[in-house]
Amino acid sequence: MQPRDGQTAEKAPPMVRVEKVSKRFDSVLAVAEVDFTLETGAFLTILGPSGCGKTTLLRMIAGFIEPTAGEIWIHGRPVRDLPPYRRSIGMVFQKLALFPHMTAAQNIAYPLRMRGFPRDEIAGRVERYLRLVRLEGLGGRRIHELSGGQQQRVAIARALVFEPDLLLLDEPLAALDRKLRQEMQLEFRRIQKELGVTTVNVTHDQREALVMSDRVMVMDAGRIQQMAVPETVYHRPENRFVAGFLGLTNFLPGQLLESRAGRARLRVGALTLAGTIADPSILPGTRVEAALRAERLRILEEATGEGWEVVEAEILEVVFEGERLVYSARAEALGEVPLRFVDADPLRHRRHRPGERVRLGWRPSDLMIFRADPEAPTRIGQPEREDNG
Amino acid sequence: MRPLGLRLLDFAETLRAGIFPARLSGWTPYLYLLPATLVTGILAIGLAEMAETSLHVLDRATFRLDPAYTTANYAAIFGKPVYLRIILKTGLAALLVTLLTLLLAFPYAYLLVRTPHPRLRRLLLVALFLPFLLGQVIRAYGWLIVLGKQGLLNAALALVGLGPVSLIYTYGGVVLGLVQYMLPFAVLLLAPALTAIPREVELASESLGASPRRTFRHIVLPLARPGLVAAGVVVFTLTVTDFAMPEIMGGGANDFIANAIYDAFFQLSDPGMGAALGIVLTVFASLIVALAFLLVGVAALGHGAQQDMRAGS
Repeated sequence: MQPRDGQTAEKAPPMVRVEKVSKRFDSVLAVAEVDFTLETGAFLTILGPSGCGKTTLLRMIAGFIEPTAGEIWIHGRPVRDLPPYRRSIGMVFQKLALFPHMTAAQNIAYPLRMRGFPRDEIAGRVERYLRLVRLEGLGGRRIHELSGGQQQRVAIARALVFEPDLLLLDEPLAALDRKLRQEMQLEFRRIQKELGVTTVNVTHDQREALVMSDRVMVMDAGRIQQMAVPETVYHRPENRFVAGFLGLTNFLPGQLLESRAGRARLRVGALTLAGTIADPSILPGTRVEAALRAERLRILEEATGEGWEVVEAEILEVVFEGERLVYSARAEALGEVPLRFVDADPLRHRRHRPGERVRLGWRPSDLMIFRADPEAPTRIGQPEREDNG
Repeated sequence: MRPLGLRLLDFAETLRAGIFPARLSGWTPYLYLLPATLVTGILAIGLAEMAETSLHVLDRATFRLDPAYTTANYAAIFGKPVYLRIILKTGLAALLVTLLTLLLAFPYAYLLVRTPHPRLRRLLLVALFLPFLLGQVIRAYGWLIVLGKQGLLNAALALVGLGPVSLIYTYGGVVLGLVQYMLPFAVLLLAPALTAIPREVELASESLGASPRRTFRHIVLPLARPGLVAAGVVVFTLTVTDFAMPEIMGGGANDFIANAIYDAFFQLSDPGMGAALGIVLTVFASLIVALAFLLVGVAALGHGAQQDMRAGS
């Protein structure tokens, strides 16, 4: 089992320890006091919007960027004075960065050659890793003779062949089309599990984060917003940003009335609603926002029993997405903001038309209350840095 | 009544259809090639005539070319140490200039391409182009002012009690002047080749365990090869055919083939010998270029290598 959030196992040192690391570019604080540990064998995905600092953090671990403050430890050893080529880190780059003047096998052999492996061992290992990424027999191909998915496989074999302490993935799947991306997500996961290599992945794709990782770290404005197992990050977001970044979420602005032991009531428009609250420090009277996931809201066809919060609403729009319908509706009692909700089984349900009036319901335990996003806070973050031409 | 403008256009269209019927329009692309083909063709005719001229010796009694065909001019070129020395000196200088220029141009182009500071990039570009705009003759005279007997360099050396050193009218001076002249060409030809190497590829090499020096040797240098060959070929051919720099900086004692050709035509009034020297120079330079392309493939001058790189990224 993976140890939960930040609780360090006593025995071996964690594979990665990032201690209060910050990075400032001129006047921009790209990464602000990021602090976490990662156990050996874990798969961590850093998830966040463009410019949240996730790539900067990854490049600091890789050694391409030096932290302004803080210390990074890999395998119990501070790496401040180690250049990238002395760190035992394999990295797969966004644009793969394969060497076009070499064959697939030569690409994979490169780190072994640079690390002075004996010739016969290089040949054996290259064979083994070609097999691992299912490219048997294609080692002699030039890079441009390989398909996008095959190039991905060469890149990951090259990053792993020297058995590094740590594997870093800098959004290598971002450029793939959806189908191939989903296939490669599972493929990366399989290889990672098979080798047990500690991995840090960076992405802005929430699905990728949830599918691939043991742990997800959500970043925004250079700070960790939440770090936990995927289910916890999705179902129990710690703040409004995390709640909004993952999934399709409705936000209802309101005012906190009372809060006790994780349960709370708030006033939204003319209504008083019950919900859950994670942060006990929010005082009654504070401006809050209630988050309601689209899949937790549903149309109640007939009078339903206990435990449902119900509002009248008018359907505004229906979007067919294949496996589901996405509705948007206006509930006058909750204000003007349209509510979005999904019908996950459109074949069995009647399709409601725009203009129709319906009863929308949800369970109070699905309503999550957060401190309101202080409008336009001092937004710290770096503009996406593209180092490549 | 249609407006006058339209009627004029109609008329022009009818005229065009008469001169160049639509069924010939498939030939249009070839038509566009015609001017360039003509220019090249004229060059070929000139070359043929030059080859013909080179096969006649000068009759020193009449100062006319002897109509009889002979290879005496070529025999003279390859038999007389004067000409052999000039050819050798030209080739050696071209080799030296090419090597030195590439050596200097590579870091310059690399910095130009890789620097994250736009202001530094601008400065590098301006510094590159400023002398580029001056032309070779003016620059050669500039060198005379700096390096001459009473030049800036010797004045500075005299202040510390050294010198005078004689740099002009020497072989080294000619090479120095040529390197300075060729540098912008080489940088401009290298820069696109280096731009085509993604920075990520270098980072990848470092993360895979290669120090910056080994990254340069195993990744940057091989990927920059098309640019290096292109720059090398241009610098070599420009040097091997150069006239002004050896003329001005060499002071008559360090002639290149081009100066010998000039002398044959205008000092000795021997067009046969001049033409023969010209043919030797053309063949010599062509062989070198052919050899370079044979080594790396013709694609080096185009974008073949860059396409490879994009496919790999």
